[in-house]
Amino acid sequence: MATVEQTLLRAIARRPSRWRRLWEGVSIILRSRTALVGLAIVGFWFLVAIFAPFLTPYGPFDQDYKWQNAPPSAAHPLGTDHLGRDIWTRLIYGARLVLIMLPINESLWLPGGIALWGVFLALVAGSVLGLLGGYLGGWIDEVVMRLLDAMMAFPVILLYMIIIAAIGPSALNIVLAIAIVGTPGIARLVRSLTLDIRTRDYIRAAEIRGESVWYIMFHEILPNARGPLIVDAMLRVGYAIFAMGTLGFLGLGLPPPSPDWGSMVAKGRQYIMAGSPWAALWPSVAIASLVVGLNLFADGLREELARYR
Amino acid sequence: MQTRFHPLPPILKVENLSISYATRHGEVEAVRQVSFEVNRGMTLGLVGESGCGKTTVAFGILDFLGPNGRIVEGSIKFQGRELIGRSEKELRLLRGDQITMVYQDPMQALNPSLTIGEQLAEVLVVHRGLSHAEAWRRSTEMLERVYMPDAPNVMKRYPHQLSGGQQQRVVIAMALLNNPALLIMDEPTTALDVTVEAAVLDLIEDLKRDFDTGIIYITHNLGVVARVCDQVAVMYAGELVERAPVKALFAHPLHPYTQGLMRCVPKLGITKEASRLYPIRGRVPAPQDRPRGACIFAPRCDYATERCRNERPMLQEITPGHSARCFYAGQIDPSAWQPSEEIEVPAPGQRVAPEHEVVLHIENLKTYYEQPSRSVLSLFGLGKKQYVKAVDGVDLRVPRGITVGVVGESGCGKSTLAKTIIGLESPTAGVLQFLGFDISMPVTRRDVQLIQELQMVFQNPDSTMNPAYTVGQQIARPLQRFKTVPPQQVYDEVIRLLHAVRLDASYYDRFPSQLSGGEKQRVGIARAFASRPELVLCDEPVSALDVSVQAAVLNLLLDIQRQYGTTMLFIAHDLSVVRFFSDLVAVMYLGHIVEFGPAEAIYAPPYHPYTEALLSAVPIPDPCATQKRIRLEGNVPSALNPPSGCVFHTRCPRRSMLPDQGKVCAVQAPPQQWNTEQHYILCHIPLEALRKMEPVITSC
Repeated sequence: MATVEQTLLRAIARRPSRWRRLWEGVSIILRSRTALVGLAIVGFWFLVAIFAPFLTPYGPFDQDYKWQNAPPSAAHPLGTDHLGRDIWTRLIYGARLVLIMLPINESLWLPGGIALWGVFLALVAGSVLGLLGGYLGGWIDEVVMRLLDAMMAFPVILLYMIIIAAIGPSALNIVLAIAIVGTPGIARLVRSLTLDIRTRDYIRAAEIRGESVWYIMFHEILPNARGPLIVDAMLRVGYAIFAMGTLGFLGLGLPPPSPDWGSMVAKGRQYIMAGSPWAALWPSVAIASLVVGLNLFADGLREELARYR
Repeated sequence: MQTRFHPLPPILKVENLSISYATRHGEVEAVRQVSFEVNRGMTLGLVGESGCGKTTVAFGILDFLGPNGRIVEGSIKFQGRELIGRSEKELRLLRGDQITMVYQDPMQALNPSLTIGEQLAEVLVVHRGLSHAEAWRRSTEMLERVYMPDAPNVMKRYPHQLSGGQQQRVVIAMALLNNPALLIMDEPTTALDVTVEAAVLDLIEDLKRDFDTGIIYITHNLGVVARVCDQVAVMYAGELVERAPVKALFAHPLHPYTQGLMRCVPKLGITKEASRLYPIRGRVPAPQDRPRGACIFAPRCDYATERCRNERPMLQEITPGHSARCFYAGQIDPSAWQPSEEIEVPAPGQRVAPEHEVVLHIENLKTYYEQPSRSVLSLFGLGKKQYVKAVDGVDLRVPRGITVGVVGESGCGKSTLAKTIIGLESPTAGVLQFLGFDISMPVTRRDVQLIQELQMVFQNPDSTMNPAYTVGQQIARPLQRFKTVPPQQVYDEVIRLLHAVRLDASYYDRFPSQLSGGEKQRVGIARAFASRPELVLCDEPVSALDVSVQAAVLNLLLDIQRQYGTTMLFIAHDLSVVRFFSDLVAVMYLGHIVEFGPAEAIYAPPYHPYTEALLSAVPIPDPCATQKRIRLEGNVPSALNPPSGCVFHTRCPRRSMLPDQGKVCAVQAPPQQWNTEQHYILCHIPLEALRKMEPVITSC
């Protein structure tokens, strides 16, 4: 039995290595200017989303009939929409839906936004399918990959519209749509990584130990695919936000009055020619900046990872 | 090699060359104040372990250092003209014209989408401005000069249609097309089989005579150095530590590092009982941890004094033409060297007593792979099925506690044999028994108890460990899975195993990326031995390691084997390593064991003609040893359609010893001829005739 002293020594001996790895991870991000800029933009949206109630005196549904389609002013920093709602308020509450809370029904919500949940579910499904196809190969691979190919044959927007049209617009259903649309791409990526990793000797070693297929797939292969997978997932969160905007714009997003960025653009679009572009401009800027931020972050990370491999 | 009179200045004169790279850890000095000369018709061997800066020197000469490398100081004079500071354009004209380079992997040096002819002719068209037809004609001539059989046809082929040895010939021909003054060869034979390597080395020797080119030959293999080089420069951790004519270097190595290297290499000529390997303790320091104002080898040196740790020695000439970077060079007597107590060196060699219980019993084992047929009929499932006969009728009995070495060229089926035994492939036919149990099924259907008794050590240190887990977690996994020890003792057992492979407890929490190649291989060994297996298969466990590390790992394996009484199957292509390591040796060719017996019997006549050819191809680290020159023609035939009769008859150099030029070999399978009770040879040539053959290697 290990004595207290031994346990302590172990803990001390263990620490530097863990800390160093963490620090190396952080320093990779710090080293890349691209990743830093991306991180700053994404970080900004996370912060305003989390602290939304403290950053505005209004609620997202508060209407003020005296201020319809108002330009930016001291009272309404980004102006108001056609119902006199404060755009800044709706914007940061909209960011909550995208990034930090998923409403299930009126009273219940889960932490993590629609985009994050959608990509997370796509990651789970895509990884399982990709691992199965890549590691087991043979007819399983053929069946899985042909099915996914068939899904990829549909244009993404069309696929979103079909799914939402079939199951109806709600936060949960948008999550499902994002997951379904994202799965084939992730499965392909995981499969190609698996095909490479499964030739390594440590996989032979696990097979020789008589490990189960599931153990090899999830404990030996998947952890080694995480680098490219994280980068890919980040890009996909960007695509998902874009898809949410598109769906909202087409009227398939979250039902009105919820502060959905896409439907804000759609409504605001009608008043651009009337001389008040603000209601359409700001949500567009929000979507664009968040997507660009995520892309920059992912790109910077990918470059730095490749450089020091 | 006699010293010639050189009225001309040396082709290349490198003086005080220092090169550094910008890395994550700041500026790192990879090469420090290296000086040497290369003359016409001379081969300079640049020897050293990996990471000691050999290739960096070559890239410095060619200005291939990349965006993060730069030459800090020194001068490189090529035919009297300074190269450093020349423009990119001037250097590019020089490269490929006056200075050419041959790389390790020929497949990467050739463009797969162009024919050999187009690639060769392009060199002459670009640098010499010849017409295409003229360039084509000269290229064909050059291919013939590098002994390429059927050169005009080879010109029309694509690189993938040639074997590795032929590809390397093409690359060498390409390098020689412009009759360069300087040829730099970076490990040109490392990726090749012994027999092919021997042929390429012969070619390099001939070319040296014919072309009067200066050659820089970069290698880690002392045997190759002894065979092709005139001058040798030994590099260690970015510094040149010794420079001497080849014979002087091998006869009287002056620097303690060179002496250490010589003790690390298994030698073929001497008897097995006397052959011990003494690894150099410690390891090559990483570039950023190299001592600055001290002898760079001092931390690993047995003769280091206070002076070595405080002052940096300069390269000094001890005897004419022989210099070393050591304060005490010339005063050290290597024959009086005693291993320091840190290193335990087990002596290999065990007698195989007949009462040994047989652990692994293999009889007429066949492993075939189905090859999809290319005919249209196969689309409908009507095509004739073809099989790659990777293992084709192998008999082997492995007694308990014994090491059986398996040697042969690549493609002879040794790895498939291992995979079949371990259960990654299923045998097509035959008996495969382990500890009396049938194991002719894949590993997934074997009993856990059997699985834990049968483990494996892998070849490539970089892929043997999962990069996502710590060393401790990876060694602990088999312990947990096979419940070798109770759960609360797993940690202590892992530490014990780490100590057994000479790593301390601090390695428990390291990740594989923080380990050197030798350390990774040690962890791989610890993992294989964790479940206390009865039989361990070692598939080329040291072929990817540096010599000094190789010696340490081999000693470690021997030591652990002795401790646990483990039986081992040792697969390798290096005959000297197998000789050092094994009690019994099986020589494989095209899926058959052509000779089997105790190690001493294999390495002395009577030989199987194939064994004889293999032995004559091994580069021996002794420039005055003589070897019979037997070269096999062509390549190992495809296992899809192995030759009839004796599988070796198509390449056998001894067929003429039989009446009728060995007609019987092509028709009839050869008999097992038993030389002694334990030694058999699969050959038609009568044992009497084989016994009369002379030994391949005679040392002086």
